[in-house]
Amino acid sequence: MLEAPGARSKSITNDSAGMLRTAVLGAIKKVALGTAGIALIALLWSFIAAGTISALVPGPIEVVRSIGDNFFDIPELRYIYYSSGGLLENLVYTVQNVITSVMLGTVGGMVFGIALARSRILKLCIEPPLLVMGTFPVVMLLPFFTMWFGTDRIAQYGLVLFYTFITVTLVARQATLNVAGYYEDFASSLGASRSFFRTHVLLPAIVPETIGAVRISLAAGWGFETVAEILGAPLGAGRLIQVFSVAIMTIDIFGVLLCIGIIAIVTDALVAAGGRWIVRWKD
Amino acid sequence: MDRPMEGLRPPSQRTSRRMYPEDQLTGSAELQPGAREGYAIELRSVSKTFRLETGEQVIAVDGVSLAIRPGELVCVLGPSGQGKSTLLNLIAGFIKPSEGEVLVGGRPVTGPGPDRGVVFQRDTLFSWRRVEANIAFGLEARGVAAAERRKTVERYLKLIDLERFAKAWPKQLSGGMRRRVAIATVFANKPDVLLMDEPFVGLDYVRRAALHKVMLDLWQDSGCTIFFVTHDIDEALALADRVFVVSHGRIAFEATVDLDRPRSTEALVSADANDLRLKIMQSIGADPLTEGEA
Repeated sequence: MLEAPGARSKSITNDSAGMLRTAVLGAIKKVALGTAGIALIALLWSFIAAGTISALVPGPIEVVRSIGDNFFDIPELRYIYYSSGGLLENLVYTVQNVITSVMLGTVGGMVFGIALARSRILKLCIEPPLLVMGTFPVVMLLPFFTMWFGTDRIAQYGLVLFYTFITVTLVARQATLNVAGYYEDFASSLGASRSFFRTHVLLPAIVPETIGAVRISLAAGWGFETVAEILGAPLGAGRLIQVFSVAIMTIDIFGVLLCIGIIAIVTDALVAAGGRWIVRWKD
Repeated sequence: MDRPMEGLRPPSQRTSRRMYPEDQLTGSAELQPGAREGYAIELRSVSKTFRLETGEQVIAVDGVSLAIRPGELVCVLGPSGQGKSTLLNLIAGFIKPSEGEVLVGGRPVTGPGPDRGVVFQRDTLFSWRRVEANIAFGLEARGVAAAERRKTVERYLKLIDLERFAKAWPKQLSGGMRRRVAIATVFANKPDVLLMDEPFVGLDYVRRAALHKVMLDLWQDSGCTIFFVTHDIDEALALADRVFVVSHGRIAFEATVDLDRPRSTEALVSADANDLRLKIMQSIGADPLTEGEA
């Protein structure tokens, strides 16, 4: 045979150990640089806050303290428009909406993207309007969602779902076109039916590109969801921002924004890590 | 057609099985009606025309008739762009003939199918499936039971000497190992006919020779018919029972390779082999180094 199997497997083991060491060192470097970046921003923020009044730009320590104070309950709001619940309850509502809508949009987008790439009729009928919709500023749809669904949950997550669906559909369609021709002849000569080809070849083959689209949707999703909640929602981070702004509670608004930012970063890191594991087969 | 799997037979036992009367092995000439029965692959006056974007018609295959017996290893030679791969694609069912008929196992070809395995020049391993799952792909697609799949995969991993790499991802394998997996994937599906489109192109001589051995072992083990497209005359002489030279979409030359198996380096540079090599070279075309000299 060509290579001595023992030598090859030993080299794979060495490679794995080397790769692990490189990965750990890379992660440490990444965390260190990230922490340094955060510290730099906090310093800059403190510097700006020191030169102005806290009602306009509060300092980081005040903001962190307000997060702690508001975490489970915000008694000050009971006398304004707000009934009960703290930062945690509102953040959970927002996170649930964003995750649910991104998941639904991703599944729908993948299925629809594959269908678009595989069906000539669907492609001819649906692709032009889909491409036009892809150019719409999606925030424009927000008043319509509010008019149609009122304060119902779908009015808030509809926007994120729509954006994710369009983004994933276009990416999945292109990825399908890229891989279908490459593998189709081989799979069919091995006896794969069309449905087997879709589930065992197309779906896994388009996952790497789809993960990228999910991360883009997720990044945009926090902003869309918060804006939708500001316009009309019973709960959520956006709703809190809206109520805090009426009560001119600037420090607390900064607290909500900081929480949303941290959640967005952590969620993206988790999706990226999960994605790396899922596509660990990729070169 | 499902054949029972046997252990590897010594290559010498196959030598006599590969000799057929030349009059029944027709290339570009018309087939005799009585000789049509029992062929693994048969092309009857097949033509294939492509229309270019400019509207111009290009004849890739021009009225080819040929017949290949079950268990035969046929190499199709010729320069690039002369119709070799088009012939293979017609037999695979990836494209339909403009004229004529393509039969495999006596049945007309209407599309791709597991009875005709294809090994491509490009790397077609499924990157997201481990080596063992790649080999099992066709069996899984055809609904073969998990226990039988496992047994077949183990057997082929052993035959290609990659048992240690059953759980490896394709990206962890060398180029030669990936070709071995691709070949095993197709053989494991037990096709009646194996179509190979320059599968070893780009590999160095030693790796290529090693892969030839793997392929010949699997071929002898399975007894399937192989239609092997190559532009390498030495490769054709090392592998084939019979060679066809395709030129301008037609069979320009056909000959039986009457060399005993296994074919040693000495056999491949013997007077008989060199004679055939010269005939093939002459049928392929002019010698570009001496062309134009008086």
